[in-house]
Amino acid sequence: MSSTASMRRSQRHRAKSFKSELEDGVQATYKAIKLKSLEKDGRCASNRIYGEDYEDDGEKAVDEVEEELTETDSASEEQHPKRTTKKSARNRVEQVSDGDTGDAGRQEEEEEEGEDGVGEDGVHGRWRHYHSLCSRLPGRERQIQLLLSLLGEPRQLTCPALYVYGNTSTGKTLVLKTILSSLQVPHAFVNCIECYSPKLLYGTILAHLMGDTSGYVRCDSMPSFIRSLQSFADERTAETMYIVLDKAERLREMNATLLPSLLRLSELTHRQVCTILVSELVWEKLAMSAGGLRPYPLHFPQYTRGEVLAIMSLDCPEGEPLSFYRTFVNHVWNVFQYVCRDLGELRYLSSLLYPKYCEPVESGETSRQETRKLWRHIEPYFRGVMSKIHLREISSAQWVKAQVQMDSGETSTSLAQGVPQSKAVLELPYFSKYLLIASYLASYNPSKTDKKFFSKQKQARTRKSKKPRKEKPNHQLLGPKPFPLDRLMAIFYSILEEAVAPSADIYSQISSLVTLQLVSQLHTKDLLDGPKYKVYTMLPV
Amino acid sequence: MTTGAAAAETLLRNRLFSDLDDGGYVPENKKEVLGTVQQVLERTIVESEGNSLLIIGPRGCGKTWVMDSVFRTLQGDRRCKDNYIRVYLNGLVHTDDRLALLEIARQLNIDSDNEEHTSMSFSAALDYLLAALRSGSGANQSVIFVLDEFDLFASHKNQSLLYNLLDISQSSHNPIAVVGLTCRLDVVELLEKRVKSRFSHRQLLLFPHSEFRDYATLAQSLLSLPINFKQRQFRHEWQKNIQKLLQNAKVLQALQQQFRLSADVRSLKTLLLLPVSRLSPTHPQLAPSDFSLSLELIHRDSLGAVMKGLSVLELCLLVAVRQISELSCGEPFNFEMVYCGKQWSSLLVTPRYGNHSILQL
Repeated sequence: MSSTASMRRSQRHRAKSFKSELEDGVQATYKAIKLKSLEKDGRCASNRIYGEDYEDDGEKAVDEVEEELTETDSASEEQHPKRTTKKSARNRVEQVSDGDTGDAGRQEEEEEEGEDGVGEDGVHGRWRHYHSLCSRLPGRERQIQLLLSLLGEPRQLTCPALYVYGNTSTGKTLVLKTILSSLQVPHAFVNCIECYSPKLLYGTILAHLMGDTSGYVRCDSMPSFIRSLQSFADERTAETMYIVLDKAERLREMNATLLPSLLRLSELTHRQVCTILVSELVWEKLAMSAGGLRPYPLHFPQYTRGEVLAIMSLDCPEGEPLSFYRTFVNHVWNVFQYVCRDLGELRYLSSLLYPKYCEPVESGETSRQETRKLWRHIEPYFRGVMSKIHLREISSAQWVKAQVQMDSGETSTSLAQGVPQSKAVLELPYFSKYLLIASYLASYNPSKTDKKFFSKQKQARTRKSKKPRKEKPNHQLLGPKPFPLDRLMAIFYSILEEAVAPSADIYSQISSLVTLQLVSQLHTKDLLDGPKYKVYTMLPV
Repeated sequence: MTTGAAAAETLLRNRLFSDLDDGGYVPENKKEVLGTVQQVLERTIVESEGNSLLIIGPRGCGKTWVMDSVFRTLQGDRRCKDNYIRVYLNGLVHTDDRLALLEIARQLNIDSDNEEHTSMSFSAALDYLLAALRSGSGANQSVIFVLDEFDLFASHKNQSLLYNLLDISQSSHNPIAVVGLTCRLDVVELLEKRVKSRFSHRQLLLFPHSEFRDYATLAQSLLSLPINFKQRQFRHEWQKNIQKLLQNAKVLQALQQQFRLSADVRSLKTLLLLPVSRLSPTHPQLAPSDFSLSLELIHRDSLGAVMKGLSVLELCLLVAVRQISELSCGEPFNFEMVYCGKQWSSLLVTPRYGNHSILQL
């Protein structure tokens, strides 16, 4: 079969070219896949891939400049110009304003309050929060720095829209919340899944800005939202209002004009508003619906190994020695990092497994220093947790219960076995079983082959076609196809040995199969030929 | 200088984010457009004739800025100063004619009852508004309507707002000017026949800079501090630094890159945001590395950056999916095909790390 061999060869060749393509982008990780043997100490391997030295060149250039910024030793008091001047400088539409209030007036204000002093801690303005923020949010120093410099002082103008993106659990929402609450500026934190319509969105944003995080202000349309924002800015504050929209990709499905107008809120209201969109998708996915205005992008990279270990060791339960917990966290990282780098998942898994890890120490079998013994004890649990909890086959409560049962030896189910036996076994009547088998065959076999398989007459042999056949996709994997009722009956009669008259009894069994949700009836508009069905059960692949 | 940097930062942020002040440099093509718009609006106000015009240009090239500059100039003109009212409508916000009408009533400072408006037809309501305006003030006040995102107004039902506004601008009872701002070149095709015939077909085109020289000059004027800046010493050093910067290779390269990608003013301002925001007492002058960092941040490959954070398992899935999609020549496939396929199983490796295979899920 030279054709299949050549096909296999071309596939292999194509596979190889893909590998070389991807290797440019994800060099280190791909080498890890192809490595036939990892080092015995998983730590070294993971260091090579995700270690502290893993940075791109652009970041190295940045760090030098940033070092200057971190040493903000002597700074003066930040000048806050008088509120009314700023306000009148900004209102351009509502009143007929003088064109020359502008710069000269503002600067005089600033200079009057000028004072060349060094404050107590030497740092002023928004940067005085920098060190406390970095200590609360390890691993995100660079992002905090960028955010603080971009957002500027609360009374300065800033970019109208910001787009924060990154993988899951990289701290996007957390960092924004912490920064905005420590700066104590009026801000609104809204989840776009929760506020699924524009009216809900406006109402929640206005309520949050006024300080009421669980309230709702009635607001019917975008013009009234803009007016409410303007009145809020005029009455309450001369500082920038920050509106953070989490899960921003949902904004695409709401109104078509919603996303563009939210990005331009600063221009539309003629006040200081900064819209921050947070999402896991890249901007290109939202750009089509965004109507031309591109927000400033800010990427939150995935945590490196060192950062993950530092954050997870903050979870250490009280009373446990930190080094002991650190070795445990190290084991968790080494095992799970290939599967999942999501910090939330890793913390969840470690909280489940830590009691198990400590068991031999508590029962007195081993001491804390005998790491090899502890590792051998915990290893099968790791495997079990990976296949059960990570895939969410059973919940953590069920797993814990299963552990307890295992320990006390009540049931003989080992961890390697599957799902708890809660599925009921269904007994179908005789014809129903045949009907189900017939519907399965009708769904998964293309109708062209029916004649070949199910016809009882002798077929005239057709000449084999010389054309090369395309590799057909496996029909099992493509899913069930719909079939009309008479095809089902035809196959049913051909597989049934005895002759049965088509009575109401048979047809009612079909509808009972539909009720049991083993077969589903299609509800399309053009059912001129009769009802169509599709089978829902599957043979194990 | 301790306060110098802070004051400079505030001033420059105002330049970048509000259209009040732009350093004073206006390129040639914008001057023409400015002149024409100003003329037209002056004629409307002073001679009470109705006018309509369209300003067309890509995003970020300064349409709103043109309108703002013209209004600033009109304020300074003694003849025009108090004789007009500006009504600003935006197609993104006022998505319906009814909303637009309510907004017009509000901006004309007319107290109106809602019931009256809903019972009248649109044109009657608009006439009533304009008549009320006229009778209320006595003098012949002209109204200038600025319609931002003009193409979105053309998608309203019957285009009634546009029809009525342009109708009024053609007839001479109330002197109004209708200025439309849009980024679609074919916006006139979107108008209905009756609307198009009432439009004066005066279109002004705004283009972004076509030469790098203009772009660099604009950058310089945006970054320069004005003459009346208080700290003279700081300003002197600052201006010298700016001159040096604009001969620096790194800075020029960053500006060139940004110019080649998009030559409009908004993207220039985005590029300049990061260098300006990094000003601090310890870093009182702009540095070339700021510019290259800014360029890198804006044009980072976001998809690649996100992919770097994926776990090995997810990357294997991606590789298998890519191979399957190539083999199936673009036809759809589902997770079952990927999971059971030989591409996936060939990527699974048993690490020598305990006796189990971690990746065999």
